[in-house]
Order: sequence, then C-alpha cells, then structure tokens
Amino acid sequence: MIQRTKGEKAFGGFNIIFLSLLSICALYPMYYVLMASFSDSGRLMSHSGLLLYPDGFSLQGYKVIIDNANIWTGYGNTLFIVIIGTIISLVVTSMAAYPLSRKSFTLRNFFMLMITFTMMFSGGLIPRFLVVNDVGLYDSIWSLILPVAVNTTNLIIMRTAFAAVPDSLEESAKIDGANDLVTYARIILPLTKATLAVLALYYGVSYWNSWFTASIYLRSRSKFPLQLILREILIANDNVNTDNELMAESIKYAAIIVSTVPILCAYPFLQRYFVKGVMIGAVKG
Amino acid sequence: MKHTQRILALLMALCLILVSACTGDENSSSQESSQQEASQATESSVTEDSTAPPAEGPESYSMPISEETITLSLFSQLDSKASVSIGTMEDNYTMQYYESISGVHIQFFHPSSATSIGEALNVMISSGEYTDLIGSIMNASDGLDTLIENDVILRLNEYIDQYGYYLSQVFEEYPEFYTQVLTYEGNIGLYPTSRLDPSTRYFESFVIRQDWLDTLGLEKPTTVDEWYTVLKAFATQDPNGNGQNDELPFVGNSNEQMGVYRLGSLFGFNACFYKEYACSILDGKVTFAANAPQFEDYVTTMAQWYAEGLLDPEYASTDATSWQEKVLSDLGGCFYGKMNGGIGTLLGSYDYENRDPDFNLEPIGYAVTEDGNSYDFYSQEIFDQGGIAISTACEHVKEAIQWMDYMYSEEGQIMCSFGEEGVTFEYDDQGVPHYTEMITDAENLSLVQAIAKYTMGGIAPRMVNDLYYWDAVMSFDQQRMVYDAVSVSTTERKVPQSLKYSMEDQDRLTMLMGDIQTYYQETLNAFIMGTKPISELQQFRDTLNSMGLEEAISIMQASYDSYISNNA
Amino acid sequence: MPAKTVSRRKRSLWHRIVRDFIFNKYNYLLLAPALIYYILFHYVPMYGAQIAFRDYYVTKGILGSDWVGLKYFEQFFSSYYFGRLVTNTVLLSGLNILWGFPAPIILALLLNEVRNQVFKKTVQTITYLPHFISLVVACGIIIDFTKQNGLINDIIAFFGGERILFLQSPEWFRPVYIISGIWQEIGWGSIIYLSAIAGISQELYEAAKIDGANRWQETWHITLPGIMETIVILLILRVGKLMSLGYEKVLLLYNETTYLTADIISTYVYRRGIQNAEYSFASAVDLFNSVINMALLLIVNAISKRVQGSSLF
Repeated sequence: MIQRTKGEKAFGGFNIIFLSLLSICALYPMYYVLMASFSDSGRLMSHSGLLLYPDGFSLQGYKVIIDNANIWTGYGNTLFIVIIGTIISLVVTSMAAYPLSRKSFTLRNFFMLMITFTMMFSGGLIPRFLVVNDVGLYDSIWSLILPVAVNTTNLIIMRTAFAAVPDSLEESAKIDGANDLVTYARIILPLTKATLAVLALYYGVSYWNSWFTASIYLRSRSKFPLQLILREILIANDNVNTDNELMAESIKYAAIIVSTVPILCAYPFLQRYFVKGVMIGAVKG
Repeated sequence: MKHTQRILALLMALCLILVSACTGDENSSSQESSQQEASQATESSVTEDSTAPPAEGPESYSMPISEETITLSLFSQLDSKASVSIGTMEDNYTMQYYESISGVHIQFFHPSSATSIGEALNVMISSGEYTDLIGSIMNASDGLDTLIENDVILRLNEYIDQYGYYLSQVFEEYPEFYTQVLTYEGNIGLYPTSRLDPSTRYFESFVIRQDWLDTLGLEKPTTVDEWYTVLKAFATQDPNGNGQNDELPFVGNSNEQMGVYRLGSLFGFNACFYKEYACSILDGKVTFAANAPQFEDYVTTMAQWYAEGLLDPEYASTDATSWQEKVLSDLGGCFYGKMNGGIGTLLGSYDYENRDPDFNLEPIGYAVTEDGNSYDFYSQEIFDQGGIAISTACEHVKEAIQWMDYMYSEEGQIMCSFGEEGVTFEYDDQGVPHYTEMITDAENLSLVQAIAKYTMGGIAPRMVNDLYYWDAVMSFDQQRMVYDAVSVSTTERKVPQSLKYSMEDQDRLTMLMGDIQTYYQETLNAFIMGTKPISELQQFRDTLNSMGLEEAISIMQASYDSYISNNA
Repeated sequence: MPAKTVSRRKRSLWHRIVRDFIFNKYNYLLLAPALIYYILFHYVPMYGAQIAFRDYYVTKGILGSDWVGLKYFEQFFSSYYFGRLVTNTVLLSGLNILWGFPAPIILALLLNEVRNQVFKKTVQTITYLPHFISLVVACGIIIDFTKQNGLINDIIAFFGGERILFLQSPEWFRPVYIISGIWQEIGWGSIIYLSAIAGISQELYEAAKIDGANRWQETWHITLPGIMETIVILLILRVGKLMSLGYEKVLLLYNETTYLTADIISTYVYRRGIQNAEYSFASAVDLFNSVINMALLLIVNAISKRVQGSSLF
C-alpha cells in the first residue's frame, strides 16, 4: 500500500464528514416520518422543529391502517406486479439489447433509431389507452406490466453493457460453433450480471411505485396496487359537495411506513447481491 | 377466439343501439311490452296506490322491483369516508339490505380517487365498455347532450314519465328542480341528486373563534369595518394568551374553495374563480370579478390586510391542510369552512385538555355591504350537479329507473341515510330516526365513517340529501348555526349553477377561461401580496379583455338571459 | 443498359435482405418480443397523436373527429403564456440538469475514495433511501420542512435570519425544486456510476501507481475517462428530455403565487388537457414539445459524436 500524502489524508477526512452530513440529510426525513407515525395526531399538528422521538406516543395510525382491507389486497397485487413484471422486463430487455449491441447485426442502427424515437414521441394518454383496451387489457392486472414492459433508458444501459464485452470472447465462442442464442445465454449474460442486477432494481422500483397507469387502466378495486391505495389515503379528494374528514396526520405517516418498509427490508439483500454483481463485473471486465 | 369475442361484442353493441333507438320512440312495441310486464307486476301485488296515480302519470310499484335477482353494474366513486373500512359499496350494510328488498344487485366499479373522477369517466367512455349505471356523470368532459347524441347514455325524460313514480312527484312539487335538471336540448340525462330541504343547501360559511371574541369583548363582525376591527384585535391583543403576537387572524389555503377569495362576498361580489368563473350578476349583467366596481376596494383592502398581517402570509401555500393545523394550534382566528369538515371536525379533534378548554368555533354570516344587503354566492341549488345516468349498455332500464326512483320515496330516503329499522336505526316517539349503537359505537370509526360503512348517509349512490341525516351527523350546535347565519343573505347576485350552454358554447367558454383563470388568480395574488401595485389595475383589465374575456362573458350573459326568461 | 443495372441492384438488395435475415435469424428472434412491444404500445398510439389536428371527441373516435388542421397549434402559439411557458420549462429543466446531473457523479467519485467499506456501504444504503419514498410523500415532506414554521425556517431563525416563505416566492421555486431533486436522486443516480467505476480494469490503476500517480491523478486520468461513456450517454438522454419535465412534482409544489417561475409546459398541458379535458389542444402542445425534444437530442448527439466519439446512434 502506497503511503497517503497529507493532502490525501485531509481530503479523506473532509470526505467522511461531507458524506456523513449528506447521509443525515437523506435519512432524517424518513426518520421524521417514522417518529411521526408513532405520534399523537393532535400534538403532531402543532409540532414545530426537529422531531427526534414520537410526540405523544400512539399506535392509532397503525391500527387504522391494519384494519384497512384495501391495503392488504393492494400488497398482494403489487407483489405480483413487481415479481412477474421485473422478470418479464429483464428477459425482454436483455434479449433485445443483445442483437442491438452486435456490430454484425446490420440493421441495428435502424432499430435503435426506431426505439429511441419513442422516447420523444408518444401518442398521448387516450390513444395509448385505446390500444390497451383493444388488446383486451382494460381492467386486467397485466395492463400494469405489458404496456410498460421495456424501458428505453434501461435498454440502452443494457446495450452499452453488452457492447463493453470484448469482441474476442464472442469470436472465440463462434469459432467453437456457438450460435447467437448460445453466445447470448452462455457468454454475454453471465458477464453482465452486475448490470442485470441494477436493471432488476430499476424495474422493480418502477413497478413498485407505479400508480398512474393503474388509476387509468383498472376499475376493479380488487386489482388496485398498493401505491394507488396509498395515494388515495394520502391525498384527500377535493370534492366540493362532500364534507371530508380531516385525515389524522399519524394515519398518513403510518401508511407511508407500512408501504415503504417492505422495499427497505428487501433492499439490503438486493444490495448485497448487487454489490457482489458489481464485483464480478469488475474482475471479469 | 378473441376474434369471435370482438365480433360478438360489436353485435351486442349494435343491438343495444337499435334497442335504445327503438325505446326512444314513444310508440315502439318493445316499450309497450315492458309496460305490460310492469303493470302485470303491479297487479300481482295489488296495493292501494296502484289506483291513485293519474292515467298518464308514471305507474307506481312496490318492492321487490324484480322477482328474480338481477344485477346492474354501477360506476361510482367510493367515498373516502367508506373506503376507510370497506373496499367496495357491495360490503355496505344498507346496499345489501336494499338488494334483499328490491331484488336488484348492484355490482360496483369504483374508480381510483387518485385521478379525477372526470378522467376515469372519460376513459370508460372511450373504452366503449360502459357500466349499466354511471355515477358522477356531470364530471365527464362531454356534456349530457353530447353523451346522449353519441349513444353513450339514455335520454331519460320518457322513462321517468313512465316509471319514475316518486321523482315525478318531486318534480311536480319543485318545478324549479325540473328546469335545473333539463339540459340545453331539453334532455334529462341523469337521475339527479338533490337538496330538497333548503337547510341542506347551506353547508359553508365563515367561521370565527368565538372564545377569542368573548375574551376581547367583541361581537361577531357584520360589516367590512367591523371585520377589520376584529381581525386587527386578533392580531394585536394576543387572544390566545401566550404572550406572543403569533396569531394569524384569517387563515385559508390556496385551494380557492377555501381561500381569501371568498372574502369578496364581504364587498358584495364573487371573486372566487371556482364558483361560476368568478362572475356575479350585477344589475342584471354577468360581471367578471375584475370588472366589478367593488373589485378595486376589495384588492386594496386585502393588500392592506395582508401587509398588516391580518391574512395568513402562507394563505396561498401549497399545503391543503395546514390552515386546519393552524386553527387547532391556536393560531388561526377566522376561516372559511364547511359545516362538518370545518366546524365539526375541528371542534371534534381539538386538544381541549392540553390547550384552551374554552376553544369554540361559531359560524358568521356574510357581511352587510353599503347597500344594506349581504350577499351569498356559495349556497347550493336543489339540483347539486350530481346524479346517475343509465348507459346504452343497460338491459334493465325499467328496473334501473325504479331502483333509483325508490330512493326518492320517503321510506327510500330514510333507508338510504339510516339503513334497516331495528338494525342500524330506530324511530323515537316523535318518529325521528336515530342510529343504533351499531353505528354510534363502531370501533375505530368516527360517526360519519361508521355511517358510511353501514348506510348510504351522505354518500353515493343515495339520491337525496335528507334532512334527518343532515341533523343526525351534527354533533355540535355550532354546526346547526350555519344555516341561520348564512341563509339570511340574498342570492340575487349569484350566477345560477345550472346555466345551460350549447355544446359549441361550452367548448368555447372552457377554452377561453383556461388562460383567464391562470392570469386572474396569479395577478390577484400579486396584488394582495403587494408584489404588483394596484395602480396596474387597468392594465390587468385590459390584458383580461385581450384574452377574450368579453366573448366569454357574452356567452354567459346569453345563457343567463334565457335562464331568466325560462324561469319568469 | 440502365434498366439492367437497376434490376440487378434490386435483386441484390432483396438478396442482401434475405441473406441478412438468414444470417441474423437468432438476432431477429431475440429482438422480436421487444419489437412487438414497441410497435404495439408506442407506434400504434403514435398514430393517435393526430388528434392534435382534429376536434377530438372521445365517443367519435380518432378518425370520426373533424379535421381542423393547425387550429390548436395556433391557439397555443398565440396564447398569452406561450413565451413564459417555454422559458420556464427550459430554465427549470436546464438548471436542474446543470446542478442535478453532476451530483451523483461527484457522489460516486467521493464514495470511490472511501477506504472503509462498512462506512461506504452505509452511506450508499442511506443515500438511496429517498428514492424509495414515493413522490407524493416526498413532496409532503418538502412542504412540511419549508413552511413558515418548518424545520428549515426554524434553522434560519435560529441563526438570526428572516423566515422565508419558500413555496410562495417565485425566486425560491427553482432552488427548492432542484435541491429536493438532488436529495431524492443523488444516491440512486450514483449506482450506475459506481457500477461503471467497478468495471474499470484494476490493471490501469496498478500501472498508474507504478508511474507514481496520486489519488487525484488517478481519479482525473483513469476513473473519470473510464466512466465518460456512461456519463455522455446519460447526459444525452437527460438533455433529450429537457422539454418533457414531469408535471407531477411541479404540480405538487407550485401554487398561483409561483406560476411566474413554476408554470411549465407540462403543467399547463395538465391543467388544460387533463383537468379541462381539452385533449386536442393538449396533444398539440405535446407534439410541439416532442419536436423540440427531438431536435435537442439530435443536436446533443451530434456534438457528442464529434467531441467525444460516443453517441447514442
């Protein structure tokens, strides 16, 4: 190990302090929500300044949320969408990214242009809905997966990762008699586990957070994903002709916690795999 | 497989269009046959009523509407009070009870409340797969006339004449209700929801901290000058007694339903864009707020109040609920609020133990202007712009009409609001219904939430805002005072809610008002907050005119004129 | 003579296509699902974008609605707010890229310098957190923290400053938007760069150490160039979306008093298109947006091709 200079040591110190501050800034709001969810609604409302511990401990918010049947069906639906959706998206994206990254594929620029073009032009809500309706996906849980199965940005990231795999590997596989399918599945995919892990996370999170398409494409409440239910709880509707109850603040915060905790719990495991994946990529690359 | 399904669907749609076209014709055979069926049904269960109605009036009927259970699908928003405890109105006790007596099962489709109901409606309409019954139909981007013309929903005039026994009686009793419901083309496109009893049409008012007034020895303000005195006293004399000048005399939020814009009524005009495009009727003319003679006085006063700290500096803030927090934490002294959501909820959730035990909110009426009148722009008409339409996909039109119509009968109204006698409510000696403990003691639910779980009180798909319900949910006397405080004001300057426009006029009006709304709201705020000097008022008016305000107003004026001549 | 050459060229072109197809049959097979997806869910709806030129009525369908030509485009261009909307969109989005784009790169580079793996992992995990908070909730927190008696104002007051009405001052809207955006996305955005840094060959670093390079020089001459391609690609994508800034966050944070700086094209489209259901008008504005976006993307792509050598296409 080479000796660190004074400048490097000082920088290292600043770096640690800076990153610690950044972490506090990132963490505190979530901590605030956690503490608020255990607080008494009435006292919470008039609270100002930092909230370091629950203001008037109360579990009322959680009681209401746990009694809410919608939350649990929403959970089930969201799990289905996240798991199935992520698998489908990964398979389709990586399959498409492979030919698009091959220099030997003559029309790759044409297809690439065709795909990137969709990032700039869209038909808009209603025409898109008409297609979803025509293929029979209206009010189907698949309407939350299939119409968003491929994300163009992710496809480009995947393609870039594939392109970074040295041509020599592919050529030697070809010499051994492997066709494109075999090269893709046996050689390229294992080499890009890191990127696959990242994309799995990207897709997973976007499926987890999606609600807008659900609000348009679904009309049976039994199919609503969690985020949609959550949004209904968090946003009081502004209907003039009805008197809305003041939704107790702690209920909102409890809803946030209940719906965010699973993904936070899953995250460290994903991250471990993901860091490992990064390392594999680094060694092989 | 898929192909045949689609062809089938198409054929069905064609049939439905044909059927609906036929039934629209008075002399059609299909209608006669259904009429026969209906009269047979009533004969089989002979009642005294059956002889009572005049020959050409709608036939009476009795429960059950259908001997065999039929299913109707209904598109209707699930009220947030109900969604706390149930996932669909099919789990609502009264809905189940109504099914058991009527033989009509309602399959609910509740769109998400995360997007506007209008959006969800537009989507359903463009999908071509309509539910049998469509709630909140007035929120669709197309007007009822357009929807009828395009065979999305049925014209109900003839059906109501034939089957709408109770609604027809109500129409006779309240002719103005009937004219309010008619569209520009003379159609009835929906089964209307209504506020038949006058006291149910008033549910908003200015609200003040009465205990602060008492502490400072002040009376409820009745003129703009008195308002100033009271707000000034709130700001300077420390009514919350914490030794700091932290009071925010008037609080509101940017959602202009509840904001500072309502204070325009103190000056005798409507400054609130949300209500009839910020227009008032002044000397028989539809007048836009900025062009009202009172406008300058209003903005000048508001700017002065803002500068003196009488208006919450954050009144335009993005947070829709923070004004309530401010009231609950003894900062806010006066606001514009709803009877239940404002007064009731705040009185109910205030922390009396740890805060001011004397906390008291009371409604105050609209201020008396220079001409000696006070003006109300915000009460409702009988027809409150809600209701359920029958789509062209419906195969049981008669039953659908009767299912909705029954909710207009006296028993039906009580059933909607209170449910089943002996289970969810009991009558007292005077014959007044009261909720049973099943509702009043429901665990983990507030009163209105429990009502929404077990009955249709105050929530869709009930038809009438009924007085008993109105009375039963008021936990505090202060809520009852709203009616007395507000109903004394005259509505002569209020633009009628049910002005009717042709399809083209409505489109034009919406288009013109889009930019005008943005410009009006942001400039009004700039005037009040002092970021724009009031000397630029003329420029403000000129810009508005350059945006086509005059044309928009002339469209409204024409509609108003015909409204007046129709009601004369 | 000329006819013969044409026919030969034709034949050879057809021949080439068939040969290419046979040669690349597995490639086409792999591409097929994505291709179907793009055609079905992107290109077919694109056909529907023509409602911008029609008086679209939901029930009449696309083709059944009357053709009105450029009516809605003219309406938008002559709108009182046209200039302001374009300026606001470009400024908000441009400034957001200017500040928001480098932030995750810097974080990735800083994290790369941390030797303590436990600390590094902790910081990573924590900074990713805000990304998992949904937008509504995040905006609720932002509003809560920036209000007059909110946390940030409490801190300002503690140091003797004047309390600021952040969300009611047009001049504060952009900073609040951008800074909160960095808070939400800095950690998440850094993942891709960390992964790119991890992909740089260790041999390069070892060679540099032998040459006597210090950490700073390593960062400047090896790490940064090593992730440059990723940076450029992401930047192109980001700039290509300059005009299509999402309306949701603005919608949740703005109000009438901040329209001056906060009202952007997409919020305007939302108000007019979704709230007022003026679909044709909204589509026209969207189409205008798309054209500008496309031009931007092509320009940035061309520049990067020339300067950097890496480009999207």
